[in-house]
Amino acid sequence: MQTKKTLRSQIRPFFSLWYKRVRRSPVGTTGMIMFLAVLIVAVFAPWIATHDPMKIDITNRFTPPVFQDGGTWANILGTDQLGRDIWSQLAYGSRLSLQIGVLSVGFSFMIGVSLGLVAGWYGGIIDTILMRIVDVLQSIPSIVVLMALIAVLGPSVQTIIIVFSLTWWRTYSRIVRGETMQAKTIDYVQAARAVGVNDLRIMFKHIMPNVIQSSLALATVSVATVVMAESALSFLGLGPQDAVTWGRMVAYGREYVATSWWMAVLPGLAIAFTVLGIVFLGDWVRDILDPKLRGT
Amino acid sequence: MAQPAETVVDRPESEQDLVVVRNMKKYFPITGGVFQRVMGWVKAVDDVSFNIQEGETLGLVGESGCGKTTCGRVLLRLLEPTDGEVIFQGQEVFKMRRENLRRLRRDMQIVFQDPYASLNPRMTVGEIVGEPLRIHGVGSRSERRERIQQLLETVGLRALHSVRYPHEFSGGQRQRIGVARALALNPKLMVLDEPVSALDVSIQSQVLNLLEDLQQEFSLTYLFIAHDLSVVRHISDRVAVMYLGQLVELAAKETLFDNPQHPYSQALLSAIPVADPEIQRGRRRIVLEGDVPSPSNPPSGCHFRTRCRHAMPQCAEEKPPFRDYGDHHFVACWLLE
Repeated sequence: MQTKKTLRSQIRPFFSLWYKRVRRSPVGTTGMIMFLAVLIVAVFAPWIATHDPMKIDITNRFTPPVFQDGGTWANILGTDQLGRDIWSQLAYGSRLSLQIGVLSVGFSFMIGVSLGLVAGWYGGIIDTILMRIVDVLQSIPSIVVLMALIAVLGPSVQTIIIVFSLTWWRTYSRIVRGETMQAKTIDYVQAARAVGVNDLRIMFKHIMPNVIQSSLALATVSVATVVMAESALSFLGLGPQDAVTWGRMVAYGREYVATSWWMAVLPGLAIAFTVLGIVFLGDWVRDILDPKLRGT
Repeated sequence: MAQPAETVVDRPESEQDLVVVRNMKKYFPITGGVFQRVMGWVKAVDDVSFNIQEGETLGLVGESGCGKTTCGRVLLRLLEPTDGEVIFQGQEVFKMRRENLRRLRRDMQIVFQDPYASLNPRMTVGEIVGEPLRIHGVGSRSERRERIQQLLETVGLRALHSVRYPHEFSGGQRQRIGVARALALNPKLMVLDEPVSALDVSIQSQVLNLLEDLQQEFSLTYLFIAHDLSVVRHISDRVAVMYLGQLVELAAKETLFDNPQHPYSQALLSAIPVADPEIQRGRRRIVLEGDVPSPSNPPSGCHFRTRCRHAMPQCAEEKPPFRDYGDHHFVACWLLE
């Protein structure tokens, strides 16, 4: 009885806090729901899909979605040029697209922010070397780098994630470096030095939370760019083989957009939906991280 | 530039010195051009020597840009010195390696001018005040929490404030948090870098009183940097006057305020208004002509000579020695030679 009571009294404030935050940030909640929806589809794709996404059915090509003339319930969102079911492709495609989008951006964000902090904090020769590397990366067309790396590593999901992580960090490090250089002269950083805080803790505890805002915003939007970039690679035959991704669906669907709009538009909408969810979520995360907006 | 072969300095040192500063210099490079070549140097602190006795408050005054803040930061080695030495309790601060320096941080602390910039907006007050304890591994988690609450109460805040964030406090309260942080490790020396100049006058006196009480209670030694002469007069035991990177005068407070010797100190002190209008009307203010010369290209000899009423040919040729003219009254001026 006693334990039950204390347990409940511990749980209740937790939920009411959640409730408060949801109320305070309807946008964030929407984002959360959107992102969770995509996540659920990705996880439960085998149960949600109505067909094998790769199964070709030549007699059933270019079937429109059910809500359009000629559509059938057999293929709710229609079929593509090879008669593959669009809905099933979307469901399975979410897996790879999410993986590629979120992981590539996540890794490149971590690499970029860390290197930016190091460059901005230490300055001097370290800064010069890192920023020259960024310049070089920026001056080489990324598609060439991608093709070279994929040629070496072989096309696979892991390769794509590695390749994107290694080419996309530069933007974050540029931004973070600049803001770090500003932040390191602020008194609270000097106060931390005066107390004897080591460099690593100053960088990650004192500077980072105050400089990642713009990078975080950029990162959420970048998810869309990466999903589309993957489609460009797939288009060139450099993407993961034998796999469905949203980017690839858009890329192939584009040829038929005049006659069978659903092939390109529906995966495009899926990408937009996911990215919007992530952007909203990013807003929310930023608000949570900012004590001024967090309230009590 | 013709430097005298030997600068004559009767070093102001004695037995009870907590800190001795000798010939401290800090030059900042000016870079320019395509290759970021060093084009010149800003001599922010140029050959400064002074001492701080245990338990006293040394006021350091001077106008904006004269190098007083730099002076304090180099002293704590928040900035790397160009030259000179600082001896703190018999240890040479400028020669310390990383680990020793970290230990030294427990004994020397700083309170900053801007209460808004000096607290990390993303840390709670408890985290801010507790960080020094954490970094130096003082006590267990619960002991630290207790110490944090005790510190907050010592500076006139409440224990429950530890869970709040800096933006929830006023300027004066924030400055108290900064003081609590500096106090956390029981330092011996505190550099107070214009700790009240960003506050309202009514709050100023509260914070000043707090600082005085703390000094009594924890036998602290203060280096009080300020441009507000009445504040310095209130809190200091001795006062040093700085002009363009150099000390021009150093004396006990009464001596300096009643009987300033250096022409710059005289001009500076004549600017303090007197509360009695009768006296105020009859006073003569010494108004300095022109601007402070650039610290990257200071005048030869005495830095003050370009604005001095008494400038003599000798002033341009040689830098006047910073010398004791009796009763520990140090002045750098040829008039007194």
